[in-house]
Amino acid sequence: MKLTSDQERLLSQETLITVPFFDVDSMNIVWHGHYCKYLEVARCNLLDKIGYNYRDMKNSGFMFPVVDMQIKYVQPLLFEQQLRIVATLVEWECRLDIRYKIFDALDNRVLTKASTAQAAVNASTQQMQFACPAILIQQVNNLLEKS
Amino acid sequence: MTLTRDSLLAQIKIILQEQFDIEPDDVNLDSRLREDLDIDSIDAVNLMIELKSLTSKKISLENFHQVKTMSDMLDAVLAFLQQDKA
Repeated sequence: MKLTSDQERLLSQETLITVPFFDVDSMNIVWHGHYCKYLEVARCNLLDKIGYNYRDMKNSGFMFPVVDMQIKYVQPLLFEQQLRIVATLVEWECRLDIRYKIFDALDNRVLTKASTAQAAVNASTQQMQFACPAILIQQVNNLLEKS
Repeated sequence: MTLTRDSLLAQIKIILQEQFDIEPDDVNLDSRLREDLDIDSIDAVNLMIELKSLTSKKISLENFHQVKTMSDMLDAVLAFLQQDKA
């Protein structure tokens, strides 16, 4: 589904992170494996905005494991650098797909582009679903109605 | 847009080629999704998302676990679209 800029804004959430010392390697650059933690923080904030966070998922009888992830390391992330992560929900009917852009919070350079896909799994049967639960779709529609 | 079985197969072949590098000539009605085409459950959801943009409808195939072959898939998608229309 192609989102209008208004819809994209409603389905996006910004997160600010300052790169901590414990994530950088001997070159002062964030080790590539740590990026997914920043995406997780941004994702949790986005899910809170949508009104269907991990706790809501559990209460509704579903789990949403990450089944695919892509990260493009455009520019390095450096120790103490201030980051602005924008997470945007792009698919919510068949699966929970989120795109991310990490910017330098000071000069707005794009540093990283990433995406994740999370599939709905029925917690009681452990079976992957080919459609997201109605409650998620309803929450997104409620948000979109604000446009 | 009305989809016939043939036009749906043609569209799915295009998606399979674009998404998974599967040659259209390697796909026929008897192709088994998992064994012959190496399509796993995650790929199947990708396929569903592509079909959704093709038909402008959310294709919700809750019984997709029972889909074994390309022929099964065409039946399932067409049945869903038919039922959605009714």
